[in-house]
Amino acid sequence: MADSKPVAALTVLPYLDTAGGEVRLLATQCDDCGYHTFPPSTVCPRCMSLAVRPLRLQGEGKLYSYTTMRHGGGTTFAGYVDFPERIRVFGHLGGYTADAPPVCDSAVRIVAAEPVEGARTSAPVDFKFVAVEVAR
Amino acid sequence: MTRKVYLIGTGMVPFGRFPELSHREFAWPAVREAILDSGVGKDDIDVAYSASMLGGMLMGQQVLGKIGLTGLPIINVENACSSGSTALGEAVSRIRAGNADVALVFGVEMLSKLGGGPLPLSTDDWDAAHGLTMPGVYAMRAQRYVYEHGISRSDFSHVSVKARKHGAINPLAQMRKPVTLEEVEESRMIADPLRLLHCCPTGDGAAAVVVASEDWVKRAKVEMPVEICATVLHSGKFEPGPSSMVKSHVSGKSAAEAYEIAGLGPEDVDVAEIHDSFAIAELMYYETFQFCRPGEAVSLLKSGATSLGGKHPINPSGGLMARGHPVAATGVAQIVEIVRQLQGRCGAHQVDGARVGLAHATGGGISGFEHGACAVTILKR
Repeated sequence: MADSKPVAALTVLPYLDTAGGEVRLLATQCDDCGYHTFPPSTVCPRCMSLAVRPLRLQGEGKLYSYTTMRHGGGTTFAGYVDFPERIRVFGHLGGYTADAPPVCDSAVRIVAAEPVEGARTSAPVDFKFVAVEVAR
Repeated sequence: MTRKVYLIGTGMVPFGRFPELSHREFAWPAVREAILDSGVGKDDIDVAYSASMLGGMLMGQQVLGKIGLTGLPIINVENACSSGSTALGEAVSRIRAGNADVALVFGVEMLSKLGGGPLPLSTDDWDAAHGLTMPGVYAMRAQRYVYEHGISRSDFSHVSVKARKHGAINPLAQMRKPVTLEEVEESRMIADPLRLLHCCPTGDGAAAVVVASEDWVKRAKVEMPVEICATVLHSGKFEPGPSSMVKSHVSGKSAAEAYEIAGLGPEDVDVAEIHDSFAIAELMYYETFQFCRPGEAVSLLKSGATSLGGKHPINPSGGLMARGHPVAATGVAQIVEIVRQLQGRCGAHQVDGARVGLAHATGGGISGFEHGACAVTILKR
């Protein structure tokens, strides 16, 4: 018996670009006033213009702050990452441990994320942020 | 010249967890108490405002039907944690405009009906859909505050100890057991660095007030009316880019505006109920309301100035952390507390000689907004 409720997508536009094996977030840029917004939108939140187009964010950003939360059967770090295009994105953080936790203002980059078993987030977690390796 | 508006009656039920009661059965005693306390008759009430976030349709009619206060305009209000204070602000505006003389405002929320855990946020929202909760938002504020100001994590545990100490002597508080610093720091981790005892409890609450015009107060010879000097509401500003999580722009703006309208400053505030939904919030808002300079909140807290018996008691009721934070009831409960403080009716947790009080309710988790809404009210006797 079908009893599922309709679920709306978080955005009506794609927010992830995985072409060529690279993972990048897609924001929106307004052609009329130049404003950037995320998640991508069909209308500019500053001037209401409809003349908007996708803006492919750089792969690296700066971790503003972070916390821990339950995800699947365990705990994950998650936080806000600020991109050079003046966009802040909340996402999960990979590769950190309680002994080696994230650090505010450190550089992170976006990578693809594999589905986590038992994840209870209402959106798929299909990307995450990991530390940018310090120069070798 | 705009008309002055006064608080003339208060009512509130003890906060706690009462899942066996319906909203209407739980809330009517608070409303009845406020009406009886005010001395107005039911027929004198021109308009009623009801605040609730999760209770469902027509909460005002549900509750007011129980005491036969119907037929008048009943306006149901939702604005997250600021729902109750938004309702109060609208009642004040209506009276100031001369469109009412007497208004009833109440807020009710029963979070016990959700079972437990953090507040459910909209799954249409980017942050929430990726797992962010309100404890998570404040945990990130705390993490950033620690990073920027170099305080120790145990510093904000002192907020929890103070809140519970106050709540222990407030018969209406949900959490009435004091806690030690060790108990706070050993409680289970919720969202690093916030532990269970750094968070407000989930529970049920209902609170009500009656407000009236100056003409009414004079005509009815109301005893101990409390003047509403300012009540200010702002929504947060949508900002998809970087912004500070430790300096609240919307609370700062609302506070500055409220001080200006009231012709008063932070030094005039004898007692305040501020939005301490999580321990870090109280420290942030000391700075926002200019009770101290940025970075000096921990020293102010540790000096004892903001504890009962100190120079500027903050959250003598126990605040959201101990009195409880049933979302839409909070804004009205804060007003009930401040009015009773200014009337000298708070018993064991009375702030001696308080003449000016401030209430602050802010919140609402929504992506791109520092806070959904923020309300600041200044009262004077």
